[in-house]
Amino acid sequence: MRHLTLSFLLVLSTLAIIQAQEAASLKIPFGDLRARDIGPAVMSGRIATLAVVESKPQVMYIGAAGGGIWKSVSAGASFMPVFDDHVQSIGALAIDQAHPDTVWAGTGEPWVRNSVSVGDGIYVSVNGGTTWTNKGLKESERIAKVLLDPDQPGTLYVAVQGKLWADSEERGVYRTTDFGTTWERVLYVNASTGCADLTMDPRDPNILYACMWDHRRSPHFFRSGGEGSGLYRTTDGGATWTEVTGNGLPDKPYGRMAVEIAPSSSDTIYLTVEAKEKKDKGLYLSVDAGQSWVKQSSDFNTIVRPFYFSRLAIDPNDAANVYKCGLNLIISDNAGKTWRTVGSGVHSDIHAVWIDPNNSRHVVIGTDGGVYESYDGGYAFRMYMNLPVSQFYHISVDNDQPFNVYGGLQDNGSWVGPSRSPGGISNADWAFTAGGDGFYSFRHPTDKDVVFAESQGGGLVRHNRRDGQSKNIKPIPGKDEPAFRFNWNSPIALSPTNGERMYFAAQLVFMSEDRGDSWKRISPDLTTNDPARQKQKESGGYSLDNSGAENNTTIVCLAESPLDEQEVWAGTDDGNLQVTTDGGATWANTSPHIPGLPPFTWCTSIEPDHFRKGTAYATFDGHKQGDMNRYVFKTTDHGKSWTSLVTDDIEGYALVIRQDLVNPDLLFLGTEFGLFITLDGGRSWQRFSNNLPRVGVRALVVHPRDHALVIGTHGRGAYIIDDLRPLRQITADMAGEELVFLKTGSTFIELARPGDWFGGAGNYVASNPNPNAQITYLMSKRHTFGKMYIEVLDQEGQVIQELPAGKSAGINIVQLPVRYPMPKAAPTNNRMAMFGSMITPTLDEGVYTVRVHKGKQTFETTLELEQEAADRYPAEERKLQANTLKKLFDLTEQLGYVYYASGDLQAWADSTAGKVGSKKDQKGLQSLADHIQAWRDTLVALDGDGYVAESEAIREEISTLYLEVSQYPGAPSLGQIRKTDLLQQRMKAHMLELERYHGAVRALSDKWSGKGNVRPVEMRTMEAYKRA
Amino acid sequence: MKKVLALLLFSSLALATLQAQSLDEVLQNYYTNIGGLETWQSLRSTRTIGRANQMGMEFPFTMVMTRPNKQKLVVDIQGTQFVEAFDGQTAWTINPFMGGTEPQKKSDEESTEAGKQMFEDDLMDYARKGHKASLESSEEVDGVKTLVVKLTTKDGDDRFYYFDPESYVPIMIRTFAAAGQMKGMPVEQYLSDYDEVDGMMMPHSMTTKVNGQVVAQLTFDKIETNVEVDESQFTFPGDK
Repeated sequence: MRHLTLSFLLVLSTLAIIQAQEAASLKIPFGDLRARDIGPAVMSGRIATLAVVESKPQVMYIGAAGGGIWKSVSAGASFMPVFDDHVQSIGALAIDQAHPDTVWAGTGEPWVRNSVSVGDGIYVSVNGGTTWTNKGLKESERIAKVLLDPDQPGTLYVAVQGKLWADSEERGVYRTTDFGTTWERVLYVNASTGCADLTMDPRDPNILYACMWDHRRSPHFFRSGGEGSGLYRTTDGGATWTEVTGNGLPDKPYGRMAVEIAPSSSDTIYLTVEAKEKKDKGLYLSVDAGQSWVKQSSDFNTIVRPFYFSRLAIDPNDAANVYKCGLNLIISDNAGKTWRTVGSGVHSDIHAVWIDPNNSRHVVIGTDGGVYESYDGGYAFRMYMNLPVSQFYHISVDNDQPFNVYGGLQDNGSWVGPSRSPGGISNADWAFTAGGDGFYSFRHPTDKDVVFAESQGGGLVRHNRRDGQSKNIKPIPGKDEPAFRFNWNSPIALSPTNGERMYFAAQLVFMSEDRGDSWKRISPDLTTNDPARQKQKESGGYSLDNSGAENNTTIVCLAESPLDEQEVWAGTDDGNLQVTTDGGATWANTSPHIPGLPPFTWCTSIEPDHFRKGTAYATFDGHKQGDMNRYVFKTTDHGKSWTSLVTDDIEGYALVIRQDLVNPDLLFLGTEFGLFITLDGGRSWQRFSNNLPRVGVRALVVHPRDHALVIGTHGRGAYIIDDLRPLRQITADMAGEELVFLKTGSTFIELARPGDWFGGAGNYVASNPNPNAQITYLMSKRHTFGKMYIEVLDQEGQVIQELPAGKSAGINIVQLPVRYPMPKAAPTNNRMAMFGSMITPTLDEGVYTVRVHKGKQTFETTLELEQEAADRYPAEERKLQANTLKKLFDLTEQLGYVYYASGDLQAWADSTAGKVGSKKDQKGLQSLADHIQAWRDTLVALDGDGYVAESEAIREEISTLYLEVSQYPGAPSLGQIRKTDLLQQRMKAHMLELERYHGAVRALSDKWSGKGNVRPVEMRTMEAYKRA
Repeated sequence: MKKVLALLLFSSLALATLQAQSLDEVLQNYYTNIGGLETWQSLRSTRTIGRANQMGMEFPFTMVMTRPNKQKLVVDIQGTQFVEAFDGQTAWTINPFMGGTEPQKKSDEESTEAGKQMFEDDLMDYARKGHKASLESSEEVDGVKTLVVKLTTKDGDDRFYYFDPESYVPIMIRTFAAAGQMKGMPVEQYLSDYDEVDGMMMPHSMTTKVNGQVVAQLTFDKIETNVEVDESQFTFPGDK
């Protein structure tokens, strides 16, 4: 045995050495540290696709552009995210309607706007979305449609649209016949042409039509259309394909098309064509199974923005009833000859339509602003107000109490919402500040009503929240000035050193010290000014798309050093990162000094160090040039040299980096695939995934007062890690410690505030920060064997709470409710009385001792509680409340004691009655038992139904009063105080009654015990009662 | 206690020498370290006295379980009893929070689910019971790189056991909510404070998390084995 033990210790020490070596890079499990989502869902976000179980239309799956998959089993009353562990950009969903728990998800959105995210293949769930398996096509980047062969289980066709910013051979139509184990590319045109739409003949699944689309995006240009585009047909399940041309179809070349065969009539086929010539664009119809075609319409919405809207839906019960996605949804009931446009408050930009085969008037649609449902055939729609898939570009915070979060969203304007709200953060808590697509949005540092907000292409406004008026303050070129080139997402920066100074940028940097009423240029053109990259006005391909989305050679990042107002950084979308150290008089481009950075790589963020002048962090992103690498750099010499902070821990191209405001080595990095944190200045990174999905993180802000990290995602709204203080304290030498406490400062006891009324399930409500005091510690190893628990002691050294301990390696956060434990109470069937004895008063302010018992060891720390409203509810008032509550607490326990102790007496008398000699003695004992019981019955109300057939005895009177007094943090009313005194007097009488009965029973016990099998009476003590 | 500890030490050493492990090896070590499969198979009943922490409040409870799947949980809520029970056929409850002071039968679906909670864990001797198990790739739980065993019951329910690779006891078990709005949502039970009870290693602390959030924490202060059980207590009182 000793030998074994020695060997065991040897093994352990070897492990310890290995751990010590690894400690050179500082990684710890984040454990209980969680991100809290705050919505918003009021404006929702872009939906790429949706699918509904036809036999149970209350079961639906929503595929968001950047927000994963959401499942409802209640027709949208509530949704659950079911894809959080995977990439969040969804392209296509398909349910096996014969086995509706089997769901296929093609990832990567096919609606390829400039800001679109990326996917990583096709997934399947066979358990209704609980778990998903990637089934390949990992280089597909985006999947436009998935079709299941209803006759051959395991056979699927997938429209792989493919890479947007680069050539790729993994695109075209793919087929599997073995449930995704192997895939065959059955239709391929060239490396820039993917499949954008696919439809299957409902009568013969071997007949399919495919829309092939030749297209390409770059940072400065978009091309829809080319020689590769075309319509193809197979009649043998994809083995061979024939291009469909002529016979009424316009001349090639084409751009993006949409095709649908009517489910109720295989001969009826609809096709939208983006042709080179305007006259040829529009909706085409074939009624002879594709033999000939007739142009039905060139309505605006049949031809607008094909790259964004090429999707048709046909009523399963009426082949003439056609829906076309567009800037607005249009519906025709005569096969596309005439249309009506859906209004009724539905968000523009429609991408998905589902028509219920069992009720054609039931329609669900997905838009740039969420999901809507109609039951009248597409006239009136109601919105699902519970899908927080909003896409933030940027986030900022103010210093209100609680602080507010500001930000702009893809196609959903600029908004502000609170970081906490009574009852949770609801849709009604969010306020709209500016329209368009939203980007940077800030509140003026001192003027509460002034918000700067932005729309695409430099549309900057100063919004006044008092009266809702906005002034446009976009800089306008003067005489002899060049035209300003503003990015889609132009940067604004508030000066950290001067609250009245702000910066804005086109290809030049502007500075204003009068809230944007006037601007001073403080730089020359800081971009490459390369004319080859200035083709916005020609962008779009066969459909001109001069939206400003491809404005290039512009500045996209701006920051003033918090340590030096003369040091300003400006990063561009064409690869420059410029710095001035003299307030803009001279600028130096530092990107040539960045090792390994390809030319023209987009600068996504710049973060001047908060502790050392001349030190800065920057992220770059080349994905719009087809470069998916990660670029994260640091300089310590104003950009004269840079080093990479990239490790293999990081996944996804880099979008934003921020430094903590307390610990210089604590950095936060947002990438296309989530949040990464380093504790050691970038030597090692760890994914942070506790409640944060693998979503694109585009914005990060450390709150300067509240120790919080606010996270802006492009698809899942905003998240907050409420307390960064544990992370700030972790150092390399803690790695081997058994248990180290991490301090989190004092906890403010919040006032309870009434929350929402009965809103039902349809509205999204995000949670508030945890109101508990938190006991936080780091452990190097998980606790598995032997007892581990926590005691909390008050100032007198009395244990007031025992809590289960956190056992995880890494960060443990144990919640200490800031309330006294419940009193021991007598039973009741009165509901309010039961609540009354459960809802206990808050703990007193002051310092408490915390003891963690772990096996034989004890670790001790303190925590401090403060009252949130100490000024409004003075100490003497709260003391009066506390004294009253203490009396009522004691009364509750005394009454409980009287009830149970008298039960001991009654039980003895009752059971002894049958054991004694004479009838008279028996009768006397039974009579005493009955008297005690009759009296006990007057103490508590047990005859009720817990609702309206309740009665009230002293138990209920005490607890109801206790509830009332505990709910208000100030002095009780005179009536409440008087009633407390009255109850005390009545309790005294009951205590005396108990003693009287005890005396009587005791006398009989003395007489009878030992005779026969009569045992002496034992009435429990108060101490024993409280212990039990 | 000493015996079990010695076995633990032994298996830790075994870990250092074994490169790859099979499912059988993992389960053999598990059985050995918790006191032996035979010991557990001779266990007929337990009575557990403990405390439940939920939403910041602590409630004492007593739980009685017998073979094959009968159980009764009685929680004392301020002197009022909350009861959940299953008698082999019918699941029933007394829930004073929902205004009920009388026993209520649960739905057939809930009774079916309750019937699946076997006294003897499904993983023990799983093959004889008709279940399937497999060793999955390692996952980190509570900072531990665990050995993951997937159990698929003969009813088709999946359950994942996460074993500590040093001591071969499960530190977490993941199941999936079977019914209601939560259906399909993973429910995780974290197990710790293992201690010996009559020659068997049993966890004395259990934390239940849904979506990473703690929903309940149970502390088992006293576990009695092979206790006399009055079987009538499991029966729905309305049928008495």
